[in-house]
Amino acid sequence: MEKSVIKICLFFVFLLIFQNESFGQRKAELTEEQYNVLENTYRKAKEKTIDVYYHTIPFESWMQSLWNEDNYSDMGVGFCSFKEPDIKLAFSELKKQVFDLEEKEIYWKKLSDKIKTSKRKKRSKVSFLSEPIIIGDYSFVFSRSVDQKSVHVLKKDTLGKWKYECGVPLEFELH
Amino acid sequence: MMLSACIPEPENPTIELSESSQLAQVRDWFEANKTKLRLPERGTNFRTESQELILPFFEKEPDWEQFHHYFFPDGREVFEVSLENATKYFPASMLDSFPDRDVKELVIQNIMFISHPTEQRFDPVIARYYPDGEGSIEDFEGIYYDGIPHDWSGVVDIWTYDERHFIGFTFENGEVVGHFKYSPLTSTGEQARIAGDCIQITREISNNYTDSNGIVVVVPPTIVVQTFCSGSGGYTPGGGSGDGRDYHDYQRPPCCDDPVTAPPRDVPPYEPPSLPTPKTIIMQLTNPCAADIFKELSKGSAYLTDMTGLGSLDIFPGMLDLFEQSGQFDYRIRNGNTGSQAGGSTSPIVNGVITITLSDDYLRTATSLSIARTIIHETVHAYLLKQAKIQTDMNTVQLLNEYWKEYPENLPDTHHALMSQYVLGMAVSLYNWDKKYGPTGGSLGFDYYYKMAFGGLLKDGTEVPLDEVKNLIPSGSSWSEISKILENEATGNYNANGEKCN
Repeated sequence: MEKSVIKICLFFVFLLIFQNESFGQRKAELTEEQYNVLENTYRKAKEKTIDVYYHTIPFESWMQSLWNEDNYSDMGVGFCSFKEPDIKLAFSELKKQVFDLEEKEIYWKKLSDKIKTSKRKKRSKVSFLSEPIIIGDYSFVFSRSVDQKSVHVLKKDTLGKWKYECGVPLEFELH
Repeated sequence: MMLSACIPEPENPTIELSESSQLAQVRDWFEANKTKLRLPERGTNFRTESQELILPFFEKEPDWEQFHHYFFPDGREVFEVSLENATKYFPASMLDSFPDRDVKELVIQNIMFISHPTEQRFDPVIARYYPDGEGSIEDFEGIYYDGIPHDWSGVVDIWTYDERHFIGFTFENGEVVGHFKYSPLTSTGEQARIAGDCIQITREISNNYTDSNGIVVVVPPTIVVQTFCSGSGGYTPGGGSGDGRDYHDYQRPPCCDDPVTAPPRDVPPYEPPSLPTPKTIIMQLTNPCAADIFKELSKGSAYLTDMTGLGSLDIFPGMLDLFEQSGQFDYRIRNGNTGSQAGGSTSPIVNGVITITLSDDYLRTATSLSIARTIIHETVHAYLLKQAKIQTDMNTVQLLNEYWKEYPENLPDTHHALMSQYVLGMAVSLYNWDKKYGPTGGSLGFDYYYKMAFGGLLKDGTEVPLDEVKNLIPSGSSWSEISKILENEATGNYNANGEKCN
């Protein structure tokens, strides 16, 4: 009887230890600032709610098409103009940092009602977002849905608020 | 109990073979095989009794820094490389067309390396582009076999690598009006028309000499340019008009002592490849009716006479001008399978080109009025893509960005929302086309064309018009009515006012 109790106690002790030690295997979390970026990405969207998948996406090869000659030039990319040198530098830095994208959980409670997270990958209107990459005063969010891929660019204003700067459509179908 | 999370590995970036490395493979192949690129001889009397038009052979020196890369419709890969030879051939008529110019400088001469469909080799041919007037003078970048300017006039002449005439195409305003092959003089001894019979050779004559001390004195050479034209006793171009054939094969004219067993020769043999007709840079529609509509739209047409002040709103020709002004001709229109129910689609920029595709199924049923509307609509998409790329009209780019914020991750809605501001201009383009070229001569009333201009301005994936568009619906009309008009014209049913295009 004593031995059984000891075994049970040891079991729970080991369970606690491994739960703590598996901390490194838990997904890293988005920061408060990254949640601010996500929130402001869709602030002006006409849709009442935006469905996003509840995990961010890691690096995917299509993201590199941002820098293809068909999309990127000295003048700008997508609807982003390179009149300000800082944004061009940020895009250059992004080219390296994009490989570091990780899969992280998006907690719906940290976002307003406008953005709803979904665990259903196959929902037709779900957007798969990368974690925001923040470089200086700019942040970048890669987005993938069933028939479109794009990048959102936000800029921090003088009050520290994130505002949508410009978009870069990468893949789409026009009719 | 251990719990482990599975974190997926990031995708490895794919490495794509660059054009330059592909070209290097072509160059290596050429250097290894160029001495073997001869058609088999016919016999010992070949040169005197052959019925082929053969120019003197000269060494081909490709300028590997300048090339075009494309694919024939059947998938064969082509590298078209500039030929930097001192020797150029051109028709004697060019001396008359350009009396005050160095005609040699106006001829574009390239070598086309065409991949063999099954073997690891390239079958080259020589392409020569002869403009017929000042308006058709192009540089290397401006003309190639898969990219003839849409308003070009002149001759595209193709020769085998060993300088036997293969085929020539005559262009007028971007259209192939005929093709020809040289054939022997008729038995009646009819005088040949002059064509392809001038040669201009540039030679360097050394002026070096040895002085009294035995030392070679180097002096700048004398450059001599000599032009030789045969003019008479030549060959008559044979063959006729554009017969719609997809591909042209090299055919050796019959000879006096045919058939003759060709002497043995090295493997691999040289076979001049079959060639499609050269393509104009913009208009690649194979549906004749749609092609005519496009050409008519691009010419522009009569101004409105019953609504003064609006005639200048014909936006279509101006939008095409944007593509022409860039100097890179990055607009194409073709027909094929769009992979959807839509009548037309516009691609993203791929290798510098925006391609509009009209659905073959749609072209079979639609009226010409509907097709003209679709061409206008898709061209506006292409125009907006181009504006975003070149960023010279920041007003348009900023408008696109503002609509994008309202329709994030949805470029169709972004474009269609902005297109609401072009509805009047699109209607004018459509009205002007019908007035001058269309089935009703502009007799439908402007209101009809205006309603047709709303085609496609729907919320993505729905049958509901965008908010920006709803406000523009004429009072007294409904979206249902507009939708019906568009359907009638797209299906060519008995309620359509236009005429079927097939």
